[in-house]
Amino acid sequence: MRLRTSAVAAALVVVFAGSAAAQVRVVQRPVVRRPIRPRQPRVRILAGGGLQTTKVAFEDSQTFQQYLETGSFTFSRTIPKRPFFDVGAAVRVYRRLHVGMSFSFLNDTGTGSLTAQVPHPLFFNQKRTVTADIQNVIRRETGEHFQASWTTKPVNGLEFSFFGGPSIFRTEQTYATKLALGLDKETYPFDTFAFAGATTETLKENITGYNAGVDITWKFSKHVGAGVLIRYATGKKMFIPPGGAPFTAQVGGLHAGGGIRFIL
Amino acid sequence: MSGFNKVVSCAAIVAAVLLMSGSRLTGQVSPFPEKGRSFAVNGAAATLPAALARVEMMLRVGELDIASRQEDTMIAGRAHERLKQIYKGVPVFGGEVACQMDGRSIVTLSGRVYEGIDLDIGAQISSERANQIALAGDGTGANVHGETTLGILPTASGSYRLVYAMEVRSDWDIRHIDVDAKTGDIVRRFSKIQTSMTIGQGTGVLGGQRKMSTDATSSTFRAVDLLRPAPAYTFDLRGSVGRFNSFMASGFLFNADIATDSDNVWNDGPTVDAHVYQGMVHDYYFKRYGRRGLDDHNLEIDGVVHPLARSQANTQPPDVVNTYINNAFFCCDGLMVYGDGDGRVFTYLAGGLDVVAHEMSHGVTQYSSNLDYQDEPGALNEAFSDIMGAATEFFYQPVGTGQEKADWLIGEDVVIRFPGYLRSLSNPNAVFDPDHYSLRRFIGTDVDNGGVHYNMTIVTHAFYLAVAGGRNRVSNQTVTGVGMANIERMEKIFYRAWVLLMGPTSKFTDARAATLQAASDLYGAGSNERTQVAAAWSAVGVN
Repeated sequence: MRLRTSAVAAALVVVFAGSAAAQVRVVQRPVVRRPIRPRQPRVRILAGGGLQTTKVAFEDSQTFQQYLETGSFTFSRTIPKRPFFDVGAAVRVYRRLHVGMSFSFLNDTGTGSLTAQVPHPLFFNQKRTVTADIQNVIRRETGEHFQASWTTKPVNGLEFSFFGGPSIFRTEQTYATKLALGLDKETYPFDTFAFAGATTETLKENITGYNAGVDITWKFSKHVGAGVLIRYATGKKMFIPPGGAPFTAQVGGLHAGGGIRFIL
Repeated sequence: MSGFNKVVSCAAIVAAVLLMSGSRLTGQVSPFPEKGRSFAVNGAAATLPAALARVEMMLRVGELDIASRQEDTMIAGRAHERLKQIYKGVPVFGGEVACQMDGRSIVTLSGRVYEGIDLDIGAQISSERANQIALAGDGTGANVHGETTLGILPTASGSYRLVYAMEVRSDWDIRHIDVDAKTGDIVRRFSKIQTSMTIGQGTGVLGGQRKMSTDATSSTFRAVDLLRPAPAYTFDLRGSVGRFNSFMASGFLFNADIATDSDNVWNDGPTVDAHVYQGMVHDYYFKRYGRRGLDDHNLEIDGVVHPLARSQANTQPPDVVNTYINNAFFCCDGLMVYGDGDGRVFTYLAGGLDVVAHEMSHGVTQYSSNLDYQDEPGALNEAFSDIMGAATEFFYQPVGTGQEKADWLIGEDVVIRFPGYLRSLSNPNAVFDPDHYSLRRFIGTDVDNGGVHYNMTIVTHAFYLAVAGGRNRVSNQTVTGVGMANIERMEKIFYRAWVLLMGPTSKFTDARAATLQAASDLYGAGSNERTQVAAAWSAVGVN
């Protein structure tokens, strides 16, 4: 019974369809349409933060003349994993190719370690080793990352932007310039040297390097998304303090973070 | 605790000990009173009634008062008190007794008080007048700094003078001046000048490069060491017979005598080595024993170089050559003189670290056991200096043979002629010095004050055996020794015995007892150190 009813309904649909075609009788030339590409956003803006996941060691070695001999000290500090803040923008220039720039900000103030070999005031070749901590050692990095990026087609709302380019790090670094030395700071019998302080200065330098990485954006609306950033940005430069021995400073590291994305 | 209470406490302890039969304290009144007036108080546990009674009496009548108390840096629980002498309420400058305390018990007494003082302490001039006299002779712009103190000054002649002591500061100097409170004469004057400390570089007698603690004046650098707690001056008499005669007659050294250099790069070897080595010896005593200078109160150290020129060895009589050219000697009160050497037998005497340490150790002896410079006490006096001379080398120099190496020889860096050294601690017989008590000579004679430079090697050889071990040539007894790695332990035992436990008339047997006591004090009665000390003394025939 049920099978008979279904067969009748199907026959009726075919009949009505054939009747409609017969009534219009309009013959149209077939039009070949190019597939419509969705409009590509022209501007991408990102803001967020994260963690610089690599520790960066800094070391400054100086020599000095004291008590007719050459002494030395090494001032070092490992900049720990520190949070950074990041903003940037990119403009589409061709298909999925963007050019843009982002800024990362890292600011860390902590304690440096100083190890010195101080000549004995009364004997040759009997240097005394002294170690000390120096507070308020500043490391500031403002990274300017110039980037060209290629953004993949969104898949399930996910876009991958692979980027790379040069970076400039505007860097401030505190380093030790000299120890507080002198006979007035010595204590008999002079076999040990009590750290009496050190002079520090903060040197500003621009360091050129590079950056490369990927930004993964999940668009949860047409123009807004959330992104994850993995970026390796680094640079290295010889600092030449006035009157002191040059030392090398390395900046940047692996940045892992995320934030909001605006796709316009 | 107040000073008054301290005095009462000390007096009570002394009295209590005296009441006990078999007193723990011992002592002797020196049978050889220094310059006829001073009274040495020395002794260790078990014999010191005379000194103790004297100290007790002086404490009771207020002729001694506690000046300071210092914890013992070598033995926990012990302390050393300094009792200063007072006469009719005024201080006796230099009169002092060191009291070694173990808790509330007195272990030893040592020091010197002055007796026979018979002075009216009524000053004939006021302190203001004394100040004027001092200032009149000290240039314009001078002023008296601090308090002017009326006190008794013992003199070298054995007499006493009532003086005002003061510090006078001027634009160019700081001086200590003593003005006779009756006559107004200036009795004593010496500089305490404070200038900027600098580090100079010098070349020693044997070419070694040294750092020198010097000071800078407006025009020159001077061999003045103000870096160490005990100020040290090195004087250069420049081989001037006239200046030397004047110095010997008066005993005065002046600022003009201080060795100078225009650029702080010093090239006069004797000046360099005398200045540097004296500082090193001072440091050795401090680092090893916690001793603060020759007198343990950072007494000024004065060294004199070029007393007579080497060239005068050909013109001066032999006794002058042997005393002032081919010799170094400790004079008194921290003054050492280093001869130039004649260039044939000796080079500049200041060039030997052991020589400098030897002479300075006489100063330590003077201010501690004060061993009489005659017969066995004199030999012990000399032996201590040689022991400390060798020990200082081992403290600073690498072990070996040759110049500026640590060894068991004395004077190897300054003796030119065969055998190339003065004495040997390891083998005294090599230069015909005695290595056994049975070989002692000249006791009771005028020869070398009873053989003080001869018989000393019996003692120094005992020290050597106690450290390095070996067999005594005469007794054939073998000593194991504590080993070179433990030489510090033996140094401390001998230092403690000589400085704290012995007295002016101690003999070899007393030295044996004192070192055994010191070994027990420091390392225990059953210690290997004590065993080795006993074996070493026995091996050299001192029982």
